[in-house]
Amino acid sequence: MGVLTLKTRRLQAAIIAVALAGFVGVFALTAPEAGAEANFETLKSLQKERRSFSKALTPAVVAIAAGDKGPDIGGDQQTGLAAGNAMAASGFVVDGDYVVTCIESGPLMSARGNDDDRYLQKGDPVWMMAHDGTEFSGKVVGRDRRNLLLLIKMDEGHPKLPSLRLGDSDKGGMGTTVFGFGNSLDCLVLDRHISVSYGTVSGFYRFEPIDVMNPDDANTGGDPYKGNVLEIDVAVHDGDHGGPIVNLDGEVVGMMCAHYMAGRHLGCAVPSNQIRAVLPQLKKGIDEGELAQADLGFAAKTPKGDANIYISKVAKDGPAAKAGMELGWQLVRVDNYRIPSWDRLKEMLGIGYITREREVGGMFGSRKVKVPVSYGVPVGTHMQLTIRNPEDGTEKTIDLIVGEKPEDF
Amino acid sequence: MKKTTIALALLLSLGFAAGLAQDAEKKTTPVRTLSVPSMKAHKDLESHRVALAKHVAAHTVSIEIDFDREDVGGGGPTIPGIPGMGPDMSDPFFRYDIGPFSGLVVGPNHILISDRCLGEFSEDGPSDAVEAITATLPNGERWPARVIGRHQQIDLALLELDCVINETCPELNVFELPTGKVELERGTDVLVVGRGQNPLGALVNDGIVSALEREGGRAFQLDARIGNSTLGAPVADNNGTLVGIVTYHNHQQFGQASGVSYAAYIHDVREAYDAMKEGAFIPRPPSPFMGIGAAPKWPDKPGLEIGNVVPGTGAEKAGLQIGDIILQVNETDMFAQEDLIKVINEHNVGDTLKVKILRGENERTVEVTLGARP
Repeated sequence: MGVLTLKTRRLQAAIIAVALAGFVGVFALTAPEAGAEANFETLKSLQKERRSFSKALTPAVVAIAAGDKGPDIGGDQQTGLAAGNAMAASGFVVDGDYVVTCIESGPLMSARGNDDDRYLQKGDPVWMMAHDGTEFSGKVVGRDRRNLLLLIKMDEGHPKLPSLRLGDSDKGGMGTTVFGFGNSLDCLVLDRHISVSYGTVSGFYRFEPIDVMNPDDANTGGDPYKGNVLEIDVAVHDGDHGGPIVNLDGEVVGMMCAHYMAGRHLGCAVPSNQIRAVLPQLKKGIDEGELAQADLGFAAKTPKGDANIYISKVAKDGPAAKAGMELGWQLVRVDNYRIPSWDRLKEMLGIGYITREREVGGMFGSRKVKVPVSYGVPVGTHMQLTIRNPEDGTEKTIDLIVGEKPEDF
Repeated sequence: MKKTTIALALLLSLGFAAGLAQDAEKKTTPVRTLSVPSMKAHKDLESHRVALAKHVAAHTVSIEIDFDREDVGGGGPTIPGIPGMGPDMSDPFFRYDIGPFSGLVVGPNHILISDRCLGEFSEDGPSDAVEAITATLPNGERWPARVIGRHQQIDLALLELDCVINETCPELNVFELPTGKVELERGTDVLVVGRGQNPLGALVNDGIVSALEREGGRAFQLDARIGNSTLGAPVADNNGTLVGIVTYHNHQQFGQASGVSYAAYIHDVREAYDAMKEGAFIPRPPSPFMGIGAAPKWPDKPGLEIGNVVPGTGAEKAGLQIGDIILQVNETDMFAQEDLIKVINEHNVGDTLKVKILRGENERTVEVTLGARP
């Protein structure tokens, strides 16, 4: 089984290499003249850059799994490639002693229940593997589900791996080139290679803040993750989750994440600006419930007998004021989604942790399950709010960047 | 004496341990950053792509289509985080009734979208189930839109903004359809720029032309990732020339992460646009229909036993009966239903097939004219 896997993986690597080469060849700006000797200089320089880039950044990436022993690598369980799932997730080193990873990675979750207890808790041990196969351990020091983020502190005696810088995820745009590094389908754990994948930033948005199929149904909800999503066409597979998405300057612009995305088979990443906003607090060991809350910088109300939502307060120099929020205007849409009711607005904006009781039907009757519909909006999230002037009906869409509530609140 | 010594030792060791713990907390590994190699060639490429994406994105709009859920059939409630507890994800049309989709501005007030977004065809325009169409422009303005033409053979529909109420229409950035012939070759770079999940942001995907002349020559295949919302998005080449519009001719490929997507050729788009400007509603070509149901009779030799004959079809007119065993169609042996379907699909409505049957002991050949699938 092991030998077979190794061979398959080499073959896979070869296929990827060929595919990459082909891609670059055709995107070369100086296309060879028809009939003339093909000029592969651009292709060669691109390939050379990519090779040295991949080599340089790999040491900052680790594989990571729950528990202190790590997965049973020698066991006869199905390998990642065969089963389509992985024994270990990915992570990347920041600030010397810490590893950032994704809380929703399969190998870091337990099968217990639907709720919070399936995620790792503060103090839980984790097992890690460096690019060269060195195994070491660490402990969870912080978690933030709003960002789907888990921060690990490596135990003493860890191999002093180099750190990655967190870049500005707002600076890059759609169409920028990115690389993804990770333990794709256990390629590090089994074969001692960190996979690298190459692609483009496709989009930047939020998931549906409410259930668009049934926006008026109070029993349904949107995606509980209320932050932004960096959509990438980098190949994200099981085991890659938690791995870094890196721009051409070698800065992390996102963390690859497993996520429920109905029908869209696209890679998604949590933007680095959201991670950077919460990282110092997590490093201090602040509990999830005590992390600085998000601040939108405005208040709204619905007068009696009026279904409209009016902006009743805009904090001076707050996020809303900076975005151009107008006092007295109506709030009509959030990220272009209609607001069905006042209650749902809180959910759409992601004001705090909100759960809903749902009836889950099954073969043996239905039962009630508490399902989160909002983890709370992370600091640093972009949201687009459309406001309407009640006097002349003109509309304006503002780009609000969620700020941090002042401590002396 | 002994006791005090032990206590002292204990105290000392405790203090020592505490000190150690403190040290451990303070001790941090010096941060070692990586030296990143120069990526100049990549950066050149990137800036070209970003500029191209911006240029194309300026001509796209986001389209939302509201359906009457009773007509469409609707979907059950979804429960985020619990896969399987909701509508059927494998249904290729799941979410087609919510969009948003992409639209391309090709005339002063003309927007092209994929016809697939509109649902079933009816003679007088969009399907009865379509209640309202809303276009969100790149600047965030929302306008009602209506269908003025449909061309199901190319899978395109033409919309215009309903500017009657305000009397002034917004100024749209028109993406000129190329008039000359655009040569496409396998390996040509393409950039697909649509409107994404959030209609105010563009969605950019790049790739290459993978195969030409798909779907009976009506579409080419590309390897750029296409999502639901990029249906109807423009496909541009390296020079920013429009080469196609994303359609899903082979919708069964959707939902399997296959990465296969299709786009209509720009010369077909131009022809369809010219026709739709004049209000053309061109339905999908009728699919050929024989009018029988048949199942294999024997495992090891050709023979499909007819289980039913649909009244009024070519099969009935040709005198085929229940119990007849089809041995050959147009001199091709019939081992399975797929063989029969293949032969029928290779022909058009009105074509005649030579069907060799076994009735009782006698072999005979009858001619069956294909009709249109009801």
